[in-house]
Amino acid sequence: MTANYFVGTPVKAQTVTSGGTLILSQYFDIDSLNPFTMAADPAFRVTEKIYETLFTVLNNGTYYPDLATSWSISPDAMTYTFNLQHGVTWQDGQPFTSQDVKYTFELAMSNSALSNDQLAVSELKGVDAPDNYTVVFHLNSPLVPFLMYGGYDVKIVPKHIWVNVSDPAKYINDNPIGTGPFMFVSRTPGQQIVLKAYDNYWGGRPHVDGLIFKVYTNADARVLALLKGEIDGAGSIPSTSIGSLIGQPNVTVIKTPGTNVNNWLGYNLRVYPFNIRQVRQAIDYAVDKNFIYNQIEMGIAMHGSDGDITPAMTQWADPNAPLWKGNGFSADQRIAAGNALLDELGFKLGPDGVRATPNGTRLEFELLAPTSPSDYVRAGEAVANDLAKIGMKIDVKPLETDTVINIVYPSAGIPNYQMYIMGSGYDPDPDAVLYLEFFSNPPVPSWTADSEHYRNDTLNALLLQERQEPNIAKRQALIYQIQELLADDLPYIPLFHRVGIAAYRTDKFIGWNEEGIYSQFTALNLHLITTTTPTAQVITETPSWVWALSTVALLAVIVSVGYALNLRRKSKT
Amino acid sequence: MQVQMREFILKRSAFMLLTFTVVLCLNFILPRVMPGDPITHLMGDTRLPPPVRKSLIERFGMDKPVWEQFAIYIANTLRGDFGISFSQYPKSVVTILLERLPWTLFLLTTSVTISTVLGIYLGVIGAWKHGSKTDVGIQASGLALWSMPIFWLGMLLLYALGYVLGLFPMGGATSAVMSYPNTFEFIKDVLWHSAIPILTLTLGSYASNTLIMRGSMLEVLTEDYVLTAEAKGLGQNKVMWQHAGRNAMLPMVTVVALNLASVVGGAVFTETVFSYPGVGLLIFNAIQSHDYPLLQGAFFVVAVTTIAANFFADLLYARLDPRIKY
Repeated sequence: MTANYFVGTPVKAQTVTSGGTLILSQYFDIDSLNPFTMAADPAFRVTEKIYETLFTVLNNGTYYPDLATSWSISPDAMTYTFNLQHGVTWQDGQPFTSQDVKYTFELAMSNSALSNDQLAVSELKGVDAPDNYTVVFHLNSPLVPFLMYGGYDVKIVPKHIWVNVSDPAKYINDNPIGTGPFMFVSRTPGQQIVLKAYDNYWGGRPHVDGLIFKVYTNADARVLALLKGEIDGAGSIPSTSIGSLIGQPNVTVIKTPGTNVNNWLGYNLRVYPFNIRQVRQAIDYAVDKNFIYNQIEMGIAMHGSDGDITPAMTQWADPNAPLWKGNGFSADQRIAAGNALLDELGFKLGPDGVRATPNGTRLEFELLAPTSPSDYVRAGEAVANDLAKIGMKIDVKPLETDTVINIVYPSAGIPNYQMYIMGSGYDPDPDAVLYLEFFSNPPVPSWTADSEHYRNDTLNALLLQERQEPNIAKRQALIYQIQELLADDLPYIPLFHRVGIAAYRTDKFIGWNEEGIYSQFTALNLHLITTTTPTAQVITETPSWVWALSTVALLAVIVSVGYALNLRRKSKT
Repeated sequence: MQVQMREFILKRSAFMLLTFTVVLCLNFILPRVMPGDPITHLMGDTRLPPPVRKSLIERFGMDKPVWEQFAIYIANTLRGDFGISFSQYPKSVVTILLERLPWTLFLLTTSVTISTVLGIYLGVIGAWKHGSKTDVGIQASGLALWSMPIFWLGMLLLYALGYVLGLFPMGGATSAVMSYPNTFEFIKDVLWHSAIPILTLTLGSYASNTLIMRGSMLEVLTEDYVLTAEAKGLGQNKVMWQHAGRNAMLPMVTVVALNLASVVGGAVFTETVFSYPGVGLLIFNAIQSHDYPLLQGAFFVVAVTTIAANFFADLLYARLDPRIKY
């Protein structure tokens, strides 16, 4: 039995005018161009244009062909066969074959310091290349998400270059050669990275000639530079700047949903009464997610879905998403429902409006709110305000983000906290979030599930089934089932799903589309962009008055130095 | 005199060595007392699975006991090796610093020169006409600019000159171009990009020079030889600049050397506002990413420059003023 995850058709080059240099902003410099060890977000965005993966993922969670045209999974989910594109060449002219894919994976397997690919090779037993255009992966145990971790995370490197590298983990890779649509030209540290179109790109040469990533560390300057036309596109726009961009001529502002970004309210299930499901459900009723969405996130986010799958991932999100107990109820109805659940448990309201459990424990808790990003503290205050209405007293304690992480996920000992707010991003496969956060079957509990002390054996069984199910429809049904279970059991409560904000100009370049994840400006998208002014050189010209001013300044310096020397000579005589 | 001079140099050198040792230690301690740690900051996702965390800790040598890290740090620093950067792994700190230093040196030397000349000029004029409207104007504007946070001043100038008037670019040291037709175009581009950063740094630092120059000048103006010079019938300019001004300039040597440290601090803010790829921006990013080796390297360079500048200022003092004896 095989499964084909492909949707859509491969991109075809059209006859359009080419030319122009596209300038995108970056919020800080890249750390490295080594695809195995780079760590900072900007580096992933740049190398993604140079190196390619077996496939890519669109922002709804579906897979899209890249170096592989199709693949199949064996019924036992242990063997994965990829059929590769024909006619692909490396940017130095060498042909791309299955040997390069095999080499890349074997390199990552043999060297644990190549940190970016360790998740992909964790279950990998071996790689075969039966012919130049076929690669077969054998796993130690069934793991369908290997498709994502292996196919989407691992950037394929040329064997003929990397085989000569003595220590790949410490290789600077200052002249990267990939198969992607853009090839590396130069890098000026702290300033910019220059790429140009690769003429022999297998998907057709990009229409633009050049692509420059220019660093603007100052967010306000980044927005102004876009408004001015100094750059053509910018990501990482602060939500406070959206107002100044919307409605401006030739500027388009878009939300770019992260495929899998959760921001949640967590509690320690070791702490009574959080171990009681009805208490967690009462909290879910009481928390006003619409307020958090509208007032704290200013509508630039997605409503938190208790199934923990971002609603934007339409491939995997439950059709009823966003799921939460209070969805569709009025504020009074929600509070009443929350209070009813606590009343049923016999939690009596005290004279000060705070409930106490039958054994006398007051519902009074400390909520750790990371100070960065700044909306967590405000979300924490909103939660405290909401929970007061059902007789829970929450003390919001703002703390430095790393400190919260070290309290909630201590490297040793039992986590000692009551409630917290946290966020995380995951690979765009549902397993990436669900298994990591909630799989709790000893002897290998996920380290995150262990922090909350959550355990649900039905869920554990479903998670094991889901990651071994090669049939996409059956797997989808299992993922839906898991989301419904989570939305009822509530190991934690997703408050919102963060989105990115990007903006681009349409006067110099057209053909922007909203495919792609992590960034609006993916290789898949930039490959299709065309210039509207092919003849005009897209260069920020230095005005000639700079020369005049410099000459005047130089003259002034010469005159004053001459004057000073003259004075000195005179005084000596 | 020669013997005394030698003794002075020896004494100063011993003191410098002591300062240097303290700097060396603080350099190691300060980055590490910041809240948070480099591992959680390195990856986009702040929560790292234990194995990844462990491998990163090993990669950065942070699995070793602190005293051992300190010993390695001292040994390496004395050999001029600051180690490998965390945030730009696997590049060496020395390489990174060398890439960024020219930009900062360019900004700093230009703005320090302009602000010193401007400070001396305005200080002398202010003192000469003290109490007049010119003096009050110079003092008021100087104090206003001096007390303005430099990043705010930079942002205002960027908005006004860069965006509203559109005269200057919004950031960076060069334009986003594939290549330059010739070197002159490159120089022109660099000058164009550095204009507002230099203006910001100058405006933010000339005032302290002005005030000190003015104070020193006021003192000198009460000296008998100024009176004598005036009595001889010398012209105003001659008295103001040659007799009073030159003598009043002496404290400026110390002020400029001492101010160097605060100018570097200003460079951190200025370079961040203008996305200028110098050491200041590097320090800012290194603090954010808890890049200990990079911070150690950058602070070391700044500290050594300041110590050396002060040492030379002391020596220069003796050269400039024969009355000073050591």
